[in-house]
Amino acid sequence: MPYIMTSMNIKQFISHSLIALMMVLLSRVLISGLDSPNFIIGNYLWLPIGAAILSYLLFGFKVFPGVLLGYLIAEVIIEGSIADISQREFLSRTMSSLAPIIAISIMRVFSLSNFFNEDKINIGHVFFLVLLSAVTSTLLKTFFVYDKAEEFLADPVGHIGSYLVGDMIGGIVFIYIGIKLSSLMLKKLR
Amino acid sequence: MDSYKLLFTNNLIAFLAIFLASVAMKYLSGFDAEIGSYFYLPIGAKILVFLLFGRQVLPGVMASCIFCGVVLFGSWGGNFAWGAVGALMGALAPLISIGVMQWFKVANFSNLKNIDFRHVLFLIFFTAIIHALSRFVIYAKSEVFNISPIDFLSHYLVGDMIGGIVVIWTVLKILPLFASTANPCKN
Repeated sequence: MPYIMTSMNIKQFISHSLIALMMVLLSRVLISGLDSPNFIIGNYLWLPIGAAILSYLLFGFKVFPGVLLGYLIAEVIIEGSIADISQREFLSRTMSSLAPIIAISIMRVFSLSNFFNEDKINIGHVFFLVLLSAVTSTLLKTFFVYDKAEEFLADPVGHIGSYLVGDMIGGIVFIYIGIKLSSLMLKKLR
Repeated sequence: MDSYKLLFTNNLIAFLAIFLASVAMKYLSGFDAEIGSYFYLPIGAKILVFLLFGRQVLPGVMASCIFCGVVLFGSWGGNFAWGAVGALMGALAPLISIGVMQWFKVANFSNLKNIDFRHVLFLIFFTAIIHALSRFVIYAKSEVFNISPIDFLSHYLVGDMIGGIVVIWTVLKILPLFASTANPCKN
């Protein structure tokens, strides 16, 4: 019995991580055309943050490796090879994967929300989570990734503004579409 | 007539609370508009008066922020116009935080009797973030202040969080203790 449970858990972990990986990967590749040539200016439709938030809410923090791997594989596809991914980019993607975990934990620690009311997702709380994740992600990157970059020091307001706005718009758009699509699919299945 | 009197009294209390917090900050840790302070007590006073009296005390809070900037901080180092804009943003930051949290229904601050202290703590952190980011954008865009982004943000974020917690903890937890020991008959 314990063996069956363990094997079920591993299967579930792999399938959940794969779903998270695919969501992040596809959303990142989808918006690659909107990337700014200057790495300090963020993408104004950062959909992957919505994918990461939704993954953590649906499957828990255990899918972190899947989310991070999704970001990194997407970068390999966009850049063309592993050699083109800088240490700064790797750190930046790690922060992007960590930020929603920190935001969800903060909201739970301060008893602000559990995000679900009787198995129904609380959309207002999730949108607030998107705002908090955007702020957390931007501050983490500002303090730990781009703090010494010359391009950042030349235009810090442009950097912070674009990352904040991009994360907020992208997160809200992804989650709104995700919830609408899933409710439509559920209706059709019924 | 009574409602005007009450409005005036509440605004006066808000004005004095922020002024006292600013004086305390100046003598405890000092303040420089370009660096901030690790003990930014006025943010705690602002949050407290908005929680107690609501947005009706906004004029008192704004007036106090500008008055303190001129009298205590030398008109923000001689940059009155941009300093005042930053100070007004500092007055609005707690109101924006409370508004956003209530709009998304993550917390309710209308009934202070049943308030969860953890929500107030989060409000302090959230206000600190909004305050630090908005002031940073205003000061950086003004080009009259010489600021280092990382130092500025870290000082304002940490200073607001510490200052907010100290003021609200003192008022909500320590003052009632003193009151109960000074007046044991009431217990």
